Amino acid sequence: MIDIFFILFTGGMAVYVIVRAAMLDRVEAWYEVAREEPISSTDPQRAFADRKLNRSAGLGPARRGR
Amino acid sequence: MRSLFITLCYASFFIVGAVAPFVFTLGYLWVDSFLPQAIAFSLINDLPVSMIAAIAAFGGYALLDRRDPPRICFMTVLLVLFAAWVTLSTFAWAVVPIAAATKWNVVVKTLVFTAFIPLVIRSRIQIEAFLQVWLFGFAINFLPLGVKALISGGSYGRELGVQSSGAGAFSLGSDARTATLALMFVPIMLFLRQHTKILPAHWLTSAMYLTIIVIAFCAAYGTYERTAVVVAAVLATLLWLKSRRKMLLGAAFVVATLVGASFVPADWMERMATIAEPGHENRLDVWRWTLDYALEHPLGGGFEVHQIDRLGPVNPDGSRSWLYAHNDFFEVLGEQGWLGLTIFVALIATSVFYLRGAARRARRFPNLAWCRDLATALQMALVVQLTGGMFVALGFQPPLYMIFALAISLREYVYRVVKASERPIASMGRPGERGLATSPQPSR
Repeated sequence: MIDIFFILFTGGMAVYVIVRAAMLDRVEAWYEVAREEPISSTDPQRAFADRKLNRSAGLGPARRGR
Repeated sequence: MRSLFITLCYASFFIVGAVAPFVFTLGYLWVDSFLPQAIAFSLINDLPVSMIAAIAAFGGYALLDRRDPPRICFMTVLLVLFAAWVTLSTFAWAVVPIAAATKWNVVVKTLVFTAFIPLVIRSRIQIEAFLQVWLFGFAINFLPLGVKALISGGSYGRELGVQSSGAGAFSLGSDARTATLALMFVPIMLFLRQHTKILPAHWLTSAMYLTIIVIAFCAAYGTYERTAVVVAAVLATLLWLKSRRKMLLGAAFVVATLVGASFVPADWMERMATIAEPGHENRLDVWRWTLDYALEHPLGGGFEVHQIDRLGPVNPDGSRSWLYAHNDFFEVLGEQGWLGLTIFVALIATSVFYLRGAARRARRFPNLAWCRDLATALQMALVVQLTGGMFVALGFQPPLYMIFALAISLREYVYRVVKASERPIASMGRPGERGLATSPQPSR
């Protein structure tokens, strides 16, 4: 019983992980463009620059809907 | 039902892989760590599961997913060189040719696959998926063992796992190798608990990892291996050194040790008490034999050369059987000679260098905190693995090489992010420019 339980658990988790990973791989940016200081979401100019940066880099939502 | 379930799990890698080709590579990793052909009773047993998964992984990459290949790095060169060297030693001067060819078959696949992984595992999701599949694939070796040891107490040499140690060339039984590798996953699980993006950020996820960690320690205890105690002590020290709450963690370790010591049976304590006793002549003998052999045969004797050492127990017919190397470095030295040992040590040193470099570069960026933590976790896993490898031969076991592959993947990931971040906005994503920051491109 213990063996069966863990076969189901580990096998099931592996399948869950690959399905989730495949889904996330299609929508998540591959490489986050990093900044040396934390990005402030309250600064509209900074937020605009970040969106522009990500858009021009092809990151973020651009991949959705393909 | 068991065989059907395992077969369906295996098939799911191909179904999902058709949508996301990197999953084919995870399929090979799962087969390599879960060994479904050894656990299932039917359906999948007669299939060359490993070869099918390998063909899918290489084919999927070559035909569908050749985005952003990593740079050719020193470690890749070392891996290819090592694969060539072990091939030469096996087929040119192996002392035990048939056994050597059997081991070569597994080792060369591990080396080639290690060099291949960084081509496929490139993004954060892919790196995490690799870690998760590796963990849940390998966990079948220690989870049943740990729970059974907790219930029944375990004992030395008793098989409590799903498969016995004789199930295949590299299969694991309830021994020091399983204990070492189970504990090796502890820092990786602590990393996943904190940084997982694939599993939901929920207290259940955290509880699951903590439970697996506890069972991993139980598995190490259940093997009755002295190596497991040494490895657990080293792991506890590493965790304590890394911790920000040293007083609290130190107190927790002391309490856990005292409570554990009051519950373990007397025969376990008796066995552990022999750690300090001078009763390891066999191990010292085989190390001395290996050193002498390597001095006489600088190129090594090929895989399984220790089958000629005649240092093992006496057989009923009066002859002596052989003894394993009982050490990573002596295993590699005896089998692959001084050049093989040099490459092996260079691989370890380079992986540490890569991981430390990746952590250093990532330190500048707050959103790369996970890279720093993963680099630390992998270095801890490497130390734990090598600590166990001082007493049992793990020099050609795949988990060590998976750490090497992850070191390359992580280094390349940080390199790509840092490079993309340093480029001016105007230069990024120009039409026709295939830069690092434009990585999410359609699959080819």
